[in-house]
Amino acid sequence: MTDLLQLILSALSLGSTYALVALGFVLVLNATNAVNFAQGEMVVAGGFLAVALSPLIDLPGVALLPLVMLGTAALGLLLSLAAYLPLRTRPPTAVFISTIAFGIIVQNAVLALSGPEPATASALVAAGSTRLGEMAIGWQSLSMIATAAVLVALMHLLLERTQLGRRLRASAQDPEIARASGIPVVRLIVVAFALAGALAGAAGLLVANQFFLSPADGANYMLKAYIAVVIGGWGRVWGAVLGALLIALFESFVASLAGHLAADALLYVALLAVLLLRPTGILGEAVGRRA
Amino acid sequence: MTRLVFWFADGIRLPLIFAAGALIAFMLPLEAPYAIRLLTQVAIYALLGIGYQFIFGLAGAFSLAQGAFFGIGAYVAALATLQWDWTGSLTLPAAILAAVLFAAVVAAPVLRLSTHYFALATLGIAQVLLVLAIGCVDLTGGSNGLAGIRTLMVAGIELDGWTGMATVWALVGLAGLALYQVRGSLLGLAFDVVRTDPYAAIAAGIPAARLRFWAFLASAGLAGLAGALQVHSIGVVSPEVLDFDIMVRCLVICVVGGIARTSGAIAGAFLVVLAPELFHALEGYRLLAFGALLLAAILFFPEGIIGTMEALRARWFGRRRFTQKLPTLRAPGRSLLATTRPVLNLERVSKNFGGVVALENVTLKVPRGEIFGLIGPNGSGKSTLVNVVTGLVVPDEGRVIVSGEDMTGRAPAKVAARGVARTFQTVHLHPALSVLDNVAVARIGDLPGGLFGTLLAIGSERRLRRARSEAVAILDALGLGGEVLRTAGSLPPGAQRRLELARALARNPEMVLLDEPAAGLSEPEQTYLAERLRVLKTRGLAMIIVDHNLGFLLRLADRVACLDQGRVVAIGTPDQVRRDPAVIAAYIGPGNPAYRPPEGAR
Repeated sequence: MTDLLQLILSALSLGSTYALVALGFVLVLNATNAVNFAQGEMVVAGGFLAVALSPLIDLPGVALLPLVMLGTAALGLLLSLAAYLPLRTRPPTAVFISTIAFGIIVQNAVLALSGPEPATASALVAAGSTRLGEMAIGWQSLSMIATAAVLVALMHLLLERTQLGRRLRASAQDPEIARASGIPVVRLIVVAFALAGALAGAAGLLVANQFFLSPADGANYMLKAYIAVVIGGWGRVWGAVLGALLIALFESFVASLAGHLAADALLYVALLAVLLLRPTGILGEAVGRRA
Repeated sequence: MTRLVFWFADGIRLPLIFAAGALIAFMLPLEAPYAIRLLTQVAIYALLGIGYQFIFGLAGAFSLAQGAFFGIGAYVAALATLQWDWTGSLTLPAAILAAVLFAAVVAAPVLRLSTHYFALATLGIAQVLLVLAIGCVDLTGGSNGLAGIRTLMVAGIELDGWTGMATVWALVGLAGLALYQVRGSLLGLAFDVVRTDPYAAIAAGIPAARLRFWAFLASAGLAGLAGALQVHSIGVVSPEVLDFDIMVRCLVICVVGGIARTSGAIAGAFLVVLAPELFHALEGYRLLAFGALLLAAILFFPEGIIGTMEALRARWFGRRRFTQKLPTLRAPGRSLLATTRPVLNLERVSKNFGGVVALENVTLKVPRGEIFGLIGPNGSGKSTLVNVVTGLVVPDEGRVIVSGEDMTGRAPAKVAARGVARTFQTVHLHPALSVLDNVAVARIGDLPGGLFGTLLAIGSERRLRRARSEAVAILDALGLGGEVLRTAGSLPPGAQRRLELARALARNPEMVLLDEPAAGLSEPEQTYLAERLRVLKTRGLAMIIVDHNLGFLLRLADRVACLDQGRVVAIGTPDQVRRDPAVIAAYIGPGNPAYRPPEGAR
């Protein structure tokens, strides 16, 4: 029983980082209809920013959160200006490549600045663990889940309660109409990229303590976000969060039974099975395709 | 002399010369073994890229499995060499075969997925293979891989160094020629349409699924070959051959080189192999510079290296003139008047959509040479009827008989092959393609000779010339004979409608279903269209026309049926139907003089 709870806890802490990455991924997707292949590299950038900052500032990781998020938001802004906006009218594959190229630049910049070794940042709140009956609960896992939950809740408020959120949702539903009703679509796109960067950066900070982070890890996070968005329903914001949690649960459970490699392989096999049976994801697409 | 200059400036030659010049400048200072190794690598990546041009460039499917096929080829060749001591004459075919077989197995479920799902599914396949290569340590050597694979040996001849390089380049030449042939053929046109507008492909009767399938297999086969050559060339294999990195290079080769072109793949291969070498001095920042170069290339050279070179050539030497002689007329088709049985026979057809009745007990007969009008309010089942006839919707009950053959539940392609063509409510043409080629491509299903013929028809493709000749004849009959070389997108709406009709006719149908052909047409355009349709009718073509423009339809049709809530409420001559109380109640509306012109006003 305690093993099970322990497993769920670690799955949730992994899932909370996936959820942040996927949330950013789907925000960009909705604003631009483009797949952002650099989203994983944003996690790496955020993580290494945290690693670089933690010795400078003698505070718990949570205090770095705003700084890191600001940094990767700026990176996201740069991404939209350099790799998306100039290519808006071009076929989607052009954006695929430009975001991949941007990702390569970010990854190798990190590599050049801090070397290939996996790194770790200071704990979010405190190191160690507390005991709950038989069970040892890591402070880091708890604080990861809590931080991610707060960020997701803030995103929820932003999307549902503010003018900006309404505009983001409106332009996701129908960009043409949004443009026609005077919504500044370009500015929204930039905001979406910046938000996506900030969320990925936060995820980077979260994983940088619990798990080691190496510059080559970006692709993994990008893939997990991509899968989460497909499983959760292409374009569904909360579906993506749900998809991310599902993936993390699946990964953790299978890994505990059969090892990490098998978990990875089986995740993709499961994904293929989902696509076979439900070619538009478990929850279906957010917006039906127009002929 | 000037002719010689122009000959060089034409087609792919100039870019090739540029590339060769740049290459020599780059290679001269290098030592021979190193230069040979680099050039072999370029050739291997060119082969991989040419393969990717088939599925990505021609078919337009964003596959992320090209790297996986490369990896399969690599591992198969490595294992066959190490375990069974096979030589190149066996390992290369085995690698190709393994990749193609694997592609054929995954194609069935994966190829029907659309865009981003297809991309992710192919990526998923690649990831599974990567994990397997790492995990099955006993077979693959795990992360360390396998070493000691000997160089390529074919028919007892050791091919390394110069000879190995020449062999790989010869294979590049063959594969490149195949791509060049396909691109310039009727198949190339068909791929162009499939990529641009799937509805246009349906309307032109292009077997899109089959084309995508073959393109997928071709790309897999070439990737497998490239993978095998890679392990023979470097002597080791490791999970790196399955890495996403290979896939990225593939994309870079095709997009930065030039999409769908042989020359683009070769130029791109030079870029991905030589660019990191060029940045050698940057050491740790090498890949960073590569990423920046890639970003700059995609930003500033949207048409890729080859497209940019062609633009430059056009500026220096002038645009290439359209030298092709206008094809001669050649009337296609068979006589449609020979038999008398009805072309279409609907027997008690019913269809429900989740409890909503779309069609109920509809029985219709359309004989040869009849224009059959279909009217009714929105949602009355007209489109469902059209979709049932064309096979897009399978009826719950009843039978659809086309020219005496029961086609109920048969695939749309089968129905189309039986002689049923259609147009869509909205215009679906390839706007950048010429009027001529928009029609010529629809001849694809009706001409003999297939892919193999295309590959062997070096230089010119007879089928394409014949299709164009026949297209001219069809266009002429619809009054578009003077517009054949214009792009379809530049035609006025009325002419675009007629072009769609011409494309439908190019399939040599016995029956055409026209969905709102008069929508958006001016009065003279409508009159002209009606006149043309009457001529087609005298040739025995049966037509079902759905339109809300009663003025147009009731003047043209021989018989008219009115649908309401899925049922035929009236059927008969236009005059009978016009006066039918049920039709007036359901559709025309009492006291609507616009739709009820007084007797003799026509």
